[in-house]
Amino acid sequence: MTRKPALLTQALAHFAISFICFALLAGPFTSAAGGEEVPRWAGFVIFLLLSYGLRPFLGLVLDEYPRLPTQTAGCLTVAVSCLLADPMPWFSLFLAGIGYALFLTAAGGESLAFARGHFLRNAAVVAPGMVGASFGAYFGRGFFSPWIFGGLLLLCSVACFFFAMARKYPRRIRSFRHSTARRMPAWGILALTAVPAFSISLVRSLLPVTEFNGALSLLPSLLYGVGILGGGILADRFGPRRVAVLGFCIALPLLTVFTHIPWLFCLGLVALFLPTSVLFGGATAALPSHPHFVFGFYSAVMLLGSVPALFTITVTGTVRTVAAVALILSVAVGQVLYTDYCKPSALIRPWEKGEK
Amino acid sequence: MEFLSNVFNLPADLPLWMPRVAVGLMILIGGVSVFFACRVLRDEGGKKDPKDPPERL
Repeated sequence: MTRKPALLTQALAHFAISFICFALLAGPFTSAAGGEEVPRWAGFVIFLLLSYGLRPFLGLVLDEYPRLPTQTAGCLTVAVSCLLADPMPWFSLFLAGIGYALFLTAAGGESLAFARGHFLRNAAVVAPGMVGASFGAYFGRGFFSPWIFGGLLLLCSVACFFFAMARKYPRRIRSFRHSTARRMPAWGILALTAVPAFSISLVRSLLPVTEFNGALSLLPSLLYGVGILGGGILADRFGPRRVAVLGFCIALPLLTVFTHIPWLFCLGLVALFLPTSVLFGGATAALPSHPHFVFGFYSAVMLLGSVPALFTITVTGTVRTVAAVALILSVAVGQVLYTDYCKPSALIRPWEKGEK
Repeated sequence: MEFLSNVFNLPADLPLWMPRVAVGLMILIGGVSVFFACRVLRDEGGKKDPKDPPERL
């Protein structure tokens, strides 16, 4: 009965917490750094390390104790960090990183645990965060009100607590499962989903998206969000393999050959992120009792993929094209191999009709 | 996003040890995550879903 409102609450809370964390980084923390580049850079890297790096370990704990009100704790921690942003900017940054990791691990893992074979559920929780982060970084400098943002997060934490209490956790979670063939070992599926997740993050860091200026700089993250959400909807409708392989095959020419045509390049950005929810579904099929760890593990993998962007390893021209082609091709081949082994356990989807 | 693209640029006066430590920590996090993934895989290996058909020899 509470499934759709709970999903909507998680999606809105994810947007809010991402917006506020990145607004805090771009606003009060940058002001406290006094315009100096080094502390700002260090603060951003510490926030990334905390918010992404803690997730696999928190995931292991949450798989053991899934009923802990972790989303509420995450929202409250970030709310406190908002109030401490002016007097203690560095401590506030630490709190924000930990709170963001707590919320994301719980919300992401739960979206996989209760997916019942729907790829859209995970996509609907992940996509708003991508958009919220860039909007927060853009608007955070002009407007940051600790009390308004803290109050908003308090509301989110109450809503998350209400839905967490109303939820019944099954003894054993199986939201996705292997096909009956089961010829591929679990570690193979995990590897074939981790490599594409790494590649998506790496290709994104190689792309010239920083050329979007002003308000247009919000466009790439909006397109990433549309890609993730669209991928979830299409995977539920047409099947994970078709969406994953087609997504990468469409992204390949658009992001390498047609980068000079803006609308085709934008379409390529959407296509690149189409398979995201399929990757999470496949990995959950390999580790059905550890949905929170799966989410955390892929966050760590994507953190590794973002290293070139963080350290401005600039790759241009032919090298960039060749690298992107090689990465996307390898990923597409991986999708063909593993998606055959991933299917929802609870539901018969339209794309399964006629399959025995 | 302008903030993000600015922050992605390494500051000119950044001490060299800082990016090295950051990359080292990221690789460490990745490595430890893979280690735990292997442990979780080992734990999951022993579990059987009652809905799975018996394996063919």
